Amino acid sequence: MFVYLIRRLNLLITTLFLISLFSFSLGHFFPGDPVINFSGQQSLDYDEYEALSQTLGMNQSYFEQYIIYLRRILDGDLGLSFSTQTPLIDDVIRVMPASIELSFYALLLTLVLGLPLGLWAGIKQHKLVDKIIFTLATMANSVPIFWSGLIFILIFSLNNQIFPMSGRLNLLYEVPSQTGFLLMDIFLADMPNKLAVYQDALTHLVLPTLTLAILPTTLLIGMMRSSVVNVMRSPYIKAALTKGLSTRELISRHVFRNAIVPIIPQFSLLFNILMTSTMITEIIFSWPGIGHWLIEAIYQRDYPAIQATLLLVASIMIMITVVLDILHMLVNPLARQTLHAK
Amino acid sequence: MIDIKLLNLFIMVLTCFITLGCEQKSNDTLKSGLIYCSEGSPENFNPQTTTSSITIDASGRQIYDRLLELNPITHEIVPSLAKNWTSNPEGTVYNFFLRDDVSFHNTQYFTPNRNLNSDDIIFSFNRWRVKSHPFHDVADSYPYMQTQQLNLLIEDIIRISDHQIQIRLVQPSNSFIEQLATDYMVILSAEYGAQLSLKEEKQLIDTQPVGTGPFKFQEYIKDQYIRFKVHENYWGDKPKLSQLVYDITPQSSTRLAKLLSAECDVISYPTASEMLILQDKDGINVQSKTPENTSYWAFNTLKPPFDQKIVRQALALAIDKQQIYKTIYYGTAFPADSLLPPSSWAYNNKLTQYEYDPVKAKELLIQAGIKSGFEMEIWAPNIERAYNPNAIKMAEVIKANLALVGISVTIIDFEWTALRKKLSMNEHDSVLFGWNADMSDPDNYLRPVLSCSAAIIGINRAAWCEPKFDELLVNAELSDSLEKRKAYLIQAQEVLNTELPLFPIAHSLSFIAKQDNIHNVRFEAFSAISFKYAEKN
Repeated sequence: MFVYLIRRLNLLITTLFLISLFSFSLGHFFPGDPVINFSGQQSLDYDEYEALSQTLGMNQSYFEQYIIYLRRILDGDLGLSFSTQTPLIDDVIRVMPASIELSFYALLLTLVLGLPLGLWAGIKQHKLVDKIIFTLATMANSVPIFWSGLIFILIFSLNNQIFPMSGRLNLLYEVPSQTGFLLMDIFLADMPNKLAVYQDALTHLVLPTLTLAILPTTLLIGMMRSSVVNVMRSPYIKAALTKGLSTRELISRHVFRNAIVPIIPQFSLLFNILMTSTMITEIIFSWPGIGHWLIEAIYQRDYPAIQATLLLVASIMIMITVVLDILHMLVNPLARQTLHAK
Repeated sequence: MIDIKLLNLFIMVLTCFITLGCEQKSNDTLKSGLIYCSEGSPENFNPQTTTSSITIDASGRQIYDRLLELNPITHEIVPSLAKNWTSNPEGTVYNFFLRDDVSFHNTQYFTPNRNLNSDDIIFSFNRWRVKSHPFHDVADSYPYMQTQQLNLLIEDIIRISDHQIQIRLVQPSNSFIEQLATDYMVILSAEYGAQLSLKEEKQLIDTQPVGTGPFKFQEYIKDQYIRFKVHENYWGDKPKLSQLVYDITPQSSTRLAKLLSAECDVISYPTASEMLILQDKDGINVQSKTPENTSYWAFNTLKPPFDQKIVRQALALAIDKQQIYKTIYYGTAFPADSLLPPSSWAYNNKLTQYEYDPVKAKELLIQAGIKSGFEMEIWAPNIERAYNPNAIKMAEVIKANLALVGISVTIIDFEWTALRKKLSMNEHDSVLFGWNADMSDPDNYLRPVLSCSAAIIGINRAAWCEPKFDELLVNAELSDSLEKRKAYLIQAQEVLNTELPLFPIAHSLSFIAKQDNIHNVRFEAFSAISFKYAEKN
């Protein structure tokens, strides 16, 4: 187990190293002066420029520059945004919760829909239910998310004004941002007719969450289904059946648990898809999260912001993958066995 | 386990339906607030420091008042912060008598202790006029006043009493009184200035503004929204709205969709291609503004080969303007031959036209030594402007036109503020840009766009400085009769037409669209948008 941890950690560190190296090199590859690209400071006089160039180690070797860069990043100094001249870390802290909130609800919806449907389809393999679920899932899986998002908008916002198509909340409601997580903020806020505000926030959530959840849900259904099918074929299920367990007991005691364990590592794939889809969803629904912010940064040629987002998003993805891997190892005895046998 | 999951699913669906049912119930916050979906993020909240109409739209008529106002219908100058004014017969000394009941905004960052008085007027004017003023250096430049040379025109501003000031001019000026009513002549608070000086936070004067206008600034998150609250103690008719929010939505199609889904009450600049949808839609109406603007294609005259007149002329000849009117403006614009629109009294209708002639264009290019395969860039803003509904598409039409004469074009699209910053560094080859007039005076088109002073402070997009042209403008300014003035301005347009630092393309109608329950949004020529009288019912 210890060896395994070391190995995973090694993977984590190597990948993070490569990402940071790439991010660092962007500072030099982007058009313009690297001093300005790294710091984001645009209005510098000669002395300030010299001083900054000194602190960034611009006259030293690339290796030393990289070390300085790493140290700055670890201190939370991502430089200033070109367009606002404010520290990027503040912007990231402002926009990140919106993305996390959206992804969280989408993930919740994915689990709530994906696991039971996958289970159901797996148990009723080759029956009508299975075919219907599988067909629907395959169809939903083949629809690009920007298309489904726009179709939702067309149906639910433009043709029938049921759900709003942009933002997190009607802007006339003024909710002070304390945690950055809107539902929490509304709870903490001191304002009249909170119920109406909650309703407004929830209606804003519906379309983005649905759009975002489609793709991971279909994937999860597929994963869960094949895993359940595998489990159903195994001898201990037959044994349990002959013992006379009811279907209900069988599923809850044996099938569900044994089916879910092998797919845990694949959850990181879900996260991957969720992350990229979040960016697209945010653009479609003008959701003020990190994806929306990144696209604005690209439009504004805000190099420090692009660099910082790349570094952060990539690092988060890697960390999630590794953590899930380790988690899988902890809960799945079979996986531990394979490891020891090597 | 399944049951619990299914139950969750059921609850989820149920919540959706509940929220659906209750959504219809509206409340006061929604009823008394207005959401304006605007096209871009302002640089700051002080029109003195910019000529960007996004910034001026966001602050000019909302946060601030001026000494005088322009009546939008009669085009007469009417009192505002100044109750009345007098001048001496020569027109060089003006006395302004101020209202005494004007209060400044009470915000989270400033509590006023006194009403408006002469100090505030002097503070606001001297900020852009006097180099030694403590706040002069807070902004890089005051482009409008500097190009109009108002800082040179005003000799002195004298405080006569608490509510009377005297402005002395170096020479009489035809347009001085009208200038005072433009969006740029805003009145700031001297007391707030003093407070910021004390805290050594002078730069906040433009980003956390305090004024006397109908709305006070509350919050701004770049690329997202601006929030204004009503100024409770406003001196004039109290605004009907309690809250005004600018929802920053750069994409025009998104703005249109948000209007249709009732998330915006008013949207800025629907593009010409969207007008058809809007006209047929129930519950939505469209307001238009006369074409007091010009969109143009400016060449960077500092950069070879665009420093050669003949190259610029060749490029102009290669453009099929008719195609542009059809595909970009859908018939909502008038062709532009001069920087001045035909409605102006100084318009020169005898200019030689650059009719579409790719053969001649090619000849001129060969003459200038430009070989086939020459590469150039066209910069374009990625948002709609009053004068240009779709600059990127226009750039594509031009690109196709130029391909026929052997020039290959790279289009570079920029976000608005980034574009303006980049342009002032003069690194571009050419740019699709334009100008919105601030007053009916023809000088307002020529001087801020192409004069040498505009080139110096970096808002002359052609980086063009021609002494002959500037001299004509000065002569026009100094002439005693309208006839002489017109003659000089006509000559100035001739110079532009042969030198062609920029190629005028169109004078465009511009629009806002709004829900039927919104009334009295002021959207008029020579002024930024105003929500002072806006109502929602």
